[in-house]
Amino acid sequence: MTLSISFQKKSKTKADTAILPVYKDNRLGTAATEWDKKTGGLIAYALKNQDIFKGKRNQTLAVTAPKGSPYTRFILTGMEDDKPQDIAAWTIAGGRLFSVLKAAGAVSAALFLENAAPEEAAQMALGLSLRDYSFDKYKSKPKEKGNKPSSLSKFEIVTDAASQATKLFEAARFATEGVHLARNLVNEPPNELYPESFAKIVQQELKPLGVEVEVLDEKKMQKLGFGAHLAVGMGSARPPRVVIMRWNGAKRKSKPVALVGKGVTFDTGGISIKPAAGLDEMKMDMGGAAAVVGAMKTLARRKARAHVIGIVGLAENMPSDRAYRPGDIIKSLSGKTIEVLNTDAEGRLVLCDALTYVQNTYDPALVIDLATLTGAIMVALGHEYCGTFANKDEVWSQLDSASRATGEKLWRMPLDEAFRKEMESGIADLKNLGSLGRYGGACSAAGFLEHFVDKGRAWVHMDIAGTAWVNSDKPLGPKHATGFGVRVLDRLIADYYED
Amino acid sequence: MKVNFTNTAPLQPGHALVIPVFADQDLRGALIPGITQDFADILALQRKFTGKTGEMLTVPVGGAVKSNVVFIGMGKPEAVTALSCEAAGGAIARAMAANEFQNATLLMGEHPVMTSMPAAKASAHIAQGAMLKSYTFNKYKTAKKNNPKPVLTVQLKQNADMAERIYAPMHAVNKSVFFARDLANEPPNELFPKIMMNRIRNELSPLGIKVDYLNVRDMEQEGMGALLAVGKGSSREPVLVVMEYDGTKGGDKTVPLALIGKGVTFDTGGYSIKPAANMDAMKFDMGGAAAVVGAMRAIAARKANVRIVAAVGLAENMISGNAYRPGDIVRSMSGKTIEINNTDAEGRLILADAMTYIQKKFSPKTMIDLATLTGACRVALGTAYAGLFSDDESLVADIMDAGKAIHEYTWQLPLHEIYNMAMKDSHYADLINSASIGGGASTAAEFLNEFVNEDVRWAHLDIAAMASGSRNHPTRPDVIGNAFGVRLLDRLVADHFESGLTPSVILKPNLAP
Repeated sequence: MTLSISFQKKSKTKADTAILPVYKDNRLGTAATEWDKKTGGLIAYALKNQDIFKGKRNQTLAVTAPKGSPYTRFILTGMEDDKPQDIAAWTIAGGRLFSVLKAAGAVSAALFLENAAPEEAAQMALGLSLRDYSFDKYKSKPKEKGNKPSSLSKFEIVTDAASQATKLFEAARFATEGVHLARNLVNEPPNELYPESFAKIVQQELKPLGVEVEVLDEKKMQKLGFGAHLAVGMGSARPPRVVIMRWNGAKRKSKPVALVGKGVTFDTGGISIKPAAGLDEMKMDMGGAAAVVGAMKTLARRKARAHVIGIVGLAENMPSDRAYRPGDIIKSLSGKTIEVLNTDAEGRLVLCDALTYVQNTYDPALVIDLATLTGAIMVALGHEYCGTFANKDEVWSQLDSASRATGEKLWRMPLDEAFRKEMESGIADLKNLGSLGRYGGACSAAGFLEHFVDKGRAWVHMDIAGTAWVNSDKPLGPKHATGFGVRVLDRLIADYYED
Repeated sequence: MKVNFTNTAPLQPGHALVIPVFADQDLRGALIPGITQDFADILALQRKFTGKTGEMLTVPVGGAVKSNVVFIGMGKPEAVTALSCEAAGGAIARAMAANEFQNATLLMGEHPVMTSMPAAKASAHIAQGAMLKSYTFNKYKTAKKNNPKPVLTVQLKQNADMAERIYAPMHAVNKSVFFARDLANEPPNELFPKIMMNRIRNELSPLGIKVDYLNVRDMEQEGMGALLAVGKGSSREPVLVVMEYDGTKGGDKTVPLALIGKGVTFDTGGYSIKPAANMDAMKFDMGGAAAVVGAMRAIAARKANVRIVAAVGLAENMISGNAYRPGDIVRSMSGKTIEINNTDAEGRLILADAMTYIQKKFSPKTMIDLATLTGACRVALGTAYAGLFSDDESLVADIMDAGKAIHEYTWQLPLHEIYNMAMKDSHYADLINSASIGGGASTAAEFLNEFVNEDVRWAHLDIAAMASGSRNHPTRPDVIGNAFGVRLLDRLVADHFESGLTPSVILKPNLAP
């Protein structure tokens, strides 16, 4: 992160860009009126000479400032008259503003926010900080011209609610740290990120924050009986790992919330190999694990008063002379046997052992797993919504409200006896692909996982295959890794699982 | 299947005996004194049958009984519901079909342990389930087509007449389901727009439904460029069938509900042709229309106190020198132009014009469309649920509840601005007819949303995976067309659109079919 964001009652910083609110039908706000006067009516003139900008939300219009003005440019930003109903819209607005400033070439900017509540100003800043992300670690650095920053580095929000907004934003921006960590993990190339190196990064990132980190290597996993997870990792020269993260900031003794992540660091599909097109994107198949690690970071950074266990199952799914085959029958940690019908339905095999382990070891009050699990969920919901399966209505409504508060969109999908039945095998207890194949594929995958959830245990499965990775820029981040899941999990815990 | 009800009578020789058994092989209430112990012994000797809802076991029994005995699982006696009775009835029909029993007698008895429902009511629900599951389509099987229908006699200790009265409106609904199933299962060389229209008119007119239609010329005059485009490639012309039913006899000046159905009598995909595998199932692409006309029949047959209009757009999507092409731009009746980028996304074109027409002519308050619309919905939900789309949460709840009450389940899928914008991503026209951003069932729904007037409550049901191909469903036939939606709509109307009558009062004796 390079951008420093501050809140001021009066503008203090020297900025090259002033962002001025304009309301419905191009009514000028206080700051816009002031600068219109100081520039001899420039702003009103600029508005008159076009008919696209009408003061609507998320509309912007850049106006070059005259010579002698303290600013290089004004950016008029549409605010309509009424405020958006949901708070997440402010986050989006902040993210969009970042993109506009970047496109305009601004290095420092001051936003004159009028009549905004502290929470709204803070969310706007959060949007800017979330959008301020790029993954250029593997790009050879261009030579810097002196010490002058070349991209947006300072952002000042001028608002009456400056001191409260500052406090709120200081708390909120820990989410950005978690999201950016999750994005980094997903964007890392698969030759650099594999189970062992993933585990190392987790230790480096979380241990200093007071999170206990335990790593199970393949020998330990063998001893404990992680048969399903080990089968997935068998084909790779780089052995699988399980990483367990413990954060207990709760004051009272309480059953933990368990976050479980699928971490297939690269998924070729195995012997049931995937088509070549888009195979490079399969480095993102650890998006669930990345979200869990990101969420743990956010929780620890903000010293959440909650008891949370994170567990990620890490493996690389490769075809090789020792890879697992379609037809294999393997024994999961739970004791249930699984007939492998398709080696590309591997995520559920990694998850099922992690689910068993975390329930047996920690008796959690709630288990949430996140996984880039099925292509079917993309056919179902596209990239807009994360398919969410919950076995308790109460937990679903908690998640739903966390989703609305953060703008990370969830859509509830069905759990059903029919889907659980579909995963029963004629030759083993279960099979890893449903009889209907792709039809209802996300639901039958959830049905498979449900076989590994203790009776009565609150459980949620989030299929983030469509939301963890996008191929176009979004308001809150550039294309590719999104870090989806971190904020909604953090919010859920903040609102419902802290004392 | 024929069903009749009698009070206790001597057992008919040659009839299979059907014995209801509660959970854990609880035989309390079995009717025949002296032989109940024999049944208990038989059940104790085998392992599979426990009496769970929908289980069945057929055994020949000698001695005093001297008959084939079918044990039917009823579940726990205190938890018997309409749904569990339907499932038990379905199991009876399966047992009769599997063993080719022409006649069977269900010994309902008194069942004092069955505290949740009187025997007469349970009998009616069992009969309904049995009849629904017994459906066959043998019209084109030379040897079987003239076989007599199997007969199920339900024998109660008393109140057979009451059971019969309760069953009567259910029978009317069942007959309507069968009518819709017959339409669905007809081969596409026999059933095409004009023929389907004739069959609808012949079946519905006698029940007091006004059936009207628009032919190609009428539709040209109305400007239905979207619907007409789909039918262009076929030598068998498209038609829009419009139905009006007024059970209020002019009492309701407004139209509270309109039903719209997609009726593509065969869908090759057009120039965006479908793969060869399973293309035969594309005769079911009129499943939405079949459901709508079936529901209209059911509602009229039980003389529901409601005013409803319906429209089904019928067309055959073929490839020929006249067929529409990808790249064509058509003008819908609403005035919106549509760039065709996939001729296999044809259902929405038909629905668009049908919805515009119905709204213009009748201004309904609520409008529900049913369509076998997208493969994406099947990928999303499999065969357990139909996809349900609506911005009106109370309508969503009403539809979901109606489905839960009769074994036709729906699951809400999202409408969203992003899906809507994807349908407007045309360089040349107002809309495209097929988007490629994923979420294919949702983008289709948003396309339809473009044709819904703002003041209309609207819901869209994507039944692509539901209209055929069921397996092991309690009351739907396996594999073949099953008319999903008839009962759902009928139930929805009964629960939320009929005035002055609650669902339980509908079961009054004077409302015979």
